[in-house]
Amino acid sequence: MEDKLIQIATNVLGIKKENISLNSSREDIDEWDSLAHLNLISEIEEQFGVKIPFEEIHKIRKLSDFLKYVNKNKPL
Amino acid sequence: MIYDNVLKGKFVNLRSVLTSDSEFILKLRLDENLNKYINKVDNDLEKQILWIKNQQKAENDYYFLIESIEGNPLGTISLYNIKNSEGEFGRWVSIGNSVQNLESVIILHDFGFYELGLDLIYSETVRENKKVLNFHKRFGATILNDFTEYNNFILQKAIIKKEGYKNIRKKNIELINYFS
Repeated sequence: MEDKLIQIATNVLGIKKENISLNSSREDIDEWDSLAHLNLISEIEEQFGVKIPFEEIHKIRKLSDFLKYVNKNKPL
Repeated sequence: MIYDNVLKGKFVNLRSVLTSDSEFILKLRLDENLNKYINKVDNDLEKQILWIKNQQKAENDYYFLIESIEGNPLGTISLYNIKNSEGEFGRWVSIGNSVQNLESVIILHDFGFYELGLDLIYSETVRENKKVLNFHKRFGATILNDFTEYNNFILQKAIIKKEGYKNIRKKNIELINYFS
């Protein structure tokens, strides 16, 4: 799941895998601008079948923040 | 100039800045998380009020407050230096979320191209402000190797032409619609 998350991020942000980790934050990555943030959310929602509430869009600061939404849909 | 109407979106509205917005704007521009790449202002409310009064008198200069649909102030955005069918997009400072920020930029470009009839809208961003330059690029602007110096900043120009805006708008509106 973590690998898939990083793969999505590298594709959306257009950066190399070695330049991003789950601990990477929006502040660390120039390519993670506000439009990229929306692309990232929509891609993660689609690929993991989750929905991130609108009010929480701005609370996502790190790639690892996505895990709490993704984990909700994790098969038992 | 004061624009009498409200430019309406799904997540934000834009209306002309009033002197009563001075306190909010000053606070915004003094916020160290937001003001790294914008011209510094003094912490002086009277100066801010005077600046807005002068802006309101300036021809070809529109300065908008970005408000949430609920009417809460989120930031500012502007179309100014309008001449020869071109205008500059700037003074964009916002505490809104990414959807609100994106929509504010679409509304401003709609205003420039479709209401004012401009042929080109440009922005000048501090060269080191990679995040905003990346935003412009992702939005659909063409980033030029055209640099100017202003107030000890090196600025890089990005442009959007009217003929290309239809497709740019479509792509970005689709994203807005996704979140609505």
